[in-house]
Amino acid sequence: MRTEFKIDDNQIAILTLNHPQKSVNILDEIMIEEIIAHLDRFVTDAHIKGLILTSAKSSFIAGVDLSLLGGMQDQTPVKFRDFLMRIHQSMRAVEKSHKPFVAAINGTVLGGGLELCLGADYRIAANQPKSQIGFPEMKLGIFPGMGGSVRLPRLIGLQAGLEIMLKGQVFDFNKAKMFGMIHEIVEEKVLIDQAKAWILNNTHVQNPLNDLKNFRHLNPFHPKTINILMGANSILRSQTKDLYPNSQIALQSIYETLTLDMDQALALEANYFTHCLFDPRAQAMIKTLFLDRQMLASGKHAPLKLDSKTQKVIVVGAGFMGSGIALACAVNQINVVLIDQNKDLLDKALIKIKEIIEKGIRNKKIHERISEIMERIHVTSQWEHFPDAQIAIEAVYEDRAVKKSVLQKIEQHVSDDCLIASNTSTLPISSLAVYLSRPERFAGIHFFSPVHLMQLVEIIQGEKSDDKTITMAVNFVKQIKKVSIIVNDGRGFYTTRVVISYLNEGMRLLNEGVAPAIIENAGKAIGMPVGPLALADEIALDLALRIRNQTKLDLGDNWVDDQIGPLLEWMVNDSGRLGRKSKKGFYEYPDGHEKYLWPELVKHFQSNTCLEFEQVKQRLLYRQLHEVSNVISEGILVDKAQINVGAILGFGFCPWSGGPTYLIDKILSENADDLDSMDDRFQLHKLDYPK
Amino acid sequence: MDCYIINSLRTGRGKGKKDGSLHIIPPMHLACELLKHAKSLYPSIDHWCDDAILGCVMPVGEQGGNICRSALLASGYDQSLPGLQINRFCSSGLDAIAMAACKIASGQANMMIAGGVESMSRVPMLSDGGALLLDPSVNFAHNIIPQGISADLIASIEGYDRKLLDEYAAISHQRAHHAHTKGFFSSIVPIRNILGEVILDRDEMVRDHVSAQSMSHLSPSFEQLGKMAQFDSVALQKYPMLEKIQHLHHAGNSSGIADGAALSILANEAMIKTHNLSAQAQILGYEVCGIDPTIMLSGPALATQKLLKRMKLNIDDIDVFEINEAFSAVVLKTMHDLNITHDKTNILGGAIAMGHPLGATGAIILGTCVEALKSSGGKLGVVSLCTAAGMAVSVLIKNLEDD
Repeated sequence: MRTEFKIDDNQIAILTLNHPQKSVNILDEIMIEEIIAHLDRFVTDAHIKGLILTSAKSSFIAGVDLSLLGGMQDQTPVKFRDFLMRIHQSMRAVEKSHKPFVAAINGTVLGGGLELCLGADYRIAANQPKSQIGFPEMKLGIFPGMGGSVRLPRLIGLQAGLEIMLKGQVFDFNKAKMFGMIHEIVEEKVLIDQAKAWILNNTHVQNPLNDLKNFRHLNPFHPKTINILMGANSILRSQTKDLYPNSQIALQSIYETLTLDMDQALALEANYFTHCLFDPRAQAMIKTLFLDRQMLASGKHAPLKLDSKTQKVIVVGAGFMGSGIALACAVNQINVVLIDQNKDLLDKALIKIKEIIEKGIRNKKIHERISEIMERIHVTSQWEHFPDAQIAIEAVYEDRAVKKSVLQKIEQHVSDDCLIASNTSTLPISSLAVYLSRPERFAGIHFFSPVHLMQLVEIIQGEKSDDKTITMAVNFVKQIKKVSIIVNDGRGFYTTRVVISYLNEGMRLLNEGVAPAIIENAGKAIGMPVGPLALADEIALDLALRIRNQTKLDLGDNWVDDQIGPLLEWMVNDSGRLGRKSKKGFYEYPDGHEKYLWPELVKHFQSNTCLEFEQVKQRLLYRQLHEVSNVISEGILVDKAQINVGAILGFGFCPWSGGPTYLIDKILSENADDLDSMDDRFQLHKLDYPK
Repeated sequence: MDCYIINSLRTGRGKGKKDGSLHIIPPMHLACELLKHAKSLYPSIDHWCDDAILGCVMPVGEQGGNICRSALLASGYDQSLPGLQINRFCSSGLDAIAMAACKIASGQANMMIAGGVESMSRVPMLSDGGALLLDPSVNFAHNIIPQGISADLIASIEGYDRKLLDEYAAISHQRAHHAHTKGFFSSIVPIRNILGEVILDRDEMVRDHVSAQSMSHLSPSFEQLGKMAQFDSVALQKYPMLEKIQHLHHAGNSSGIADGAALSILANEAMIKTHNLSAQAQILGYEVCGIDPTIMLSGPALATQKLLKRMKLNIDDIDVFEINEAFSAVVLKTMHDLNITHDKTNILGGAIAMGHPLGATGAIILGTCVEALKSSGGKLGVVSLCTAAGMAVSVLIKNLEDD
């Protein structure tokens, strides 16, 4: 049994959720069936005066089981819709029963769990600053379609309801109370007593949801509503570019259900939700962004089953990356020594770290005192022996000679079983391993910038890195609450290589005379977070030129001209435009104003192309897919989950697709003819993923 | 077409705000004032006419429930004269007249009253809602954005700068002021209160000494809407050649929100002879078109080209153009596409100076076109309006004054 149903002396039933196989309650099919049975009994058994829903775990309900929602391949839409309707019928019977139903929320409640609570007459939560409440569904390609999109606007108003649902927001109980999603917050030890007291004081309840007259102000064309919905349409569109399976359908469902009574509204919502859920994009998004991501976050992909706990980390190089890595360790209870010869840089790093912590505390992302975190960070310019460090990471300038000397210095100052890692994004790990006497304990741990915001870490397995080293790295990344992928050594590893292909294709289009605005809009139109030229500016054009020239040198006869050399040289050497850092790149960056495309680009690259916008989009997308398909065929990374999670978390690759492998498979099975007319750098290999 | 304009009547255009002169008058009464005036000129008009049509863009509340039939009944017209209310957004008043003309020319009526009415101060824009605005199945598919953003989109694509738009607007103001001074607007019927005092007998918003310089301080009207509600981004999804939308339209170079009404009395030749009426002009043709609903407002050129083609006329045959001044960019774009000059266009000023009471404007500027032909001695005139959702309407008329 996943639930317990007990009736106390006052004839109040307490429905307690306690999933025996999980650390948190998730609503799987069995638990839902049990809840339905208990709700039905509560309604029909005249002796029971009231109902309290609570959890035996420290959290409340984490949501509906996503392996259920992500496993629709074997279901039919009508059967699934009918399953939803059985939940609705039981919840509606409770709402119409006039018997009091209280949700006693004793921990984090998300998604489907919150939807259950919205069916209660009263929501009372334990005073827990860390617990979360909200609807993250939109981020997974679906929407709160188990009654949430119907009940939330009716209970807290359309503006707040839309904002919470459409942004996929999750927040703390105090904010939820402000919105009116929770009625009362009490100390945890009196939670159930307070719930019972409310029931005894409210033996006959009138649930406002039962009468449509209460919701006339929610008519879409009510003067107060019309602007809210118009804005929601345009804002959602501009953010999703019509690519996601859920944006239009969520708003369609809300628009149509606002004027219907509850039973009609829930039935309509169930149809729309089911349709959305069965969209292959939604299934792919759930798989990649929840199931695969969760698997990778738990470190199950490590090559060995080995517990390793990191207590002390050495970070060499106090630049932007080094200080970010130090902070990531410190906020996760790991002691860290930050080493840099430059004392100024160390001072600046500490200031930057404090700023980020203070912001984290303000935004309630960090719940510790700043002094406690700072105590774990030691800065120094002196090398000494660190016998108790488990991991040492170099994050110094991307220069082979500098890296060599730092790595050798690290090896001299740490114990024999300390993992040594490089944060390089471009230099092959095996080529750095030769500087060490014990290369088997060396690997790449490639963080993304800015470290405190980016979820992904790329672990690079060099030719000689052993499985224990890689497992320790995976465990470390898990400990600092990030998600790792394990990538074999190769030029640009995985993510950097694909990102560069995107930038280069953008520059190549510019070189061909495609208007820069078209290129940038095309990048955004396929679902990339920024256009390729803007991204090139962020990365820095001199760096792009350096990487290109190094690659050309290294590849020798295998080098295929990317056609962008003259363009980059003109930008960097002739025009002195290095990108955002110099406030001059493909864009101008005027102080205090929005950036805008450098007008000279249009003049310099005479528009002499007849490429359609759709072709520009296709090139920017297929160029990346080609690179991913090469990464797979070269054996750099062959695991589907890691490819997809890595692309979305690492460089924001088209989240709507669920990841590049879904697009490659789809193109090869449905649009393979498109490829016939395209150049080699867009071709896709048939993928053979290992099972 | 066997259809003639016997007379055109209109109210002055009041400022469409709470402090506008016509705000105190319910919209049906604006129509009634003109209907009563028509009856005073032609006492049997209600028996001569077969039908009446009024355009109205926000036909809800006090403008709802068929304002045309309501106004006829309230004006003491005989119950035998029915009434119809129609809506094609900003061209409704012109459509009402053109549809009445088609009915007459096809022999289904001998005489009709047609026009439009709108009190924007009392029934504001968006009052009638509409699926187009909110239903994602049409809104998403067609990148529906507010008119002002569409006007800024046209200006951005065409590269019109603020100075060009303002200079156009300043000339509209100067021409409107001149036309009022010279008394060219003979169709205006003074609106009086119950004691017989004149409330409004001119276009209220017309001012003297307006120049591009004097409006240079006005800040753009649609920038916040475009950025905050992200309508700019929605527009760019369809027009990716632009990096951004330049927000250049403001209160001075956009049509003013206004209250007003206008009617034309239309009849066929037989009716004119029977009742010894005189015709001011003849309606020759009527054409409509649909274009991309996002850019929305650049249709008048296409509608006019279609009309001229059907009428086997060249653009140079037309002496006077009335292109509704929804925004400066709309008229600049239309003049460019039709290859016509400002000398021939909106020669008595337009909605930028005098206001744009949505449902009435088409009927107002048809009357203005007759007046413009008279004042300039021209023969053929084209009246054209752009509308919401990407449509446009053009009507061709012939001045009969010299005949």
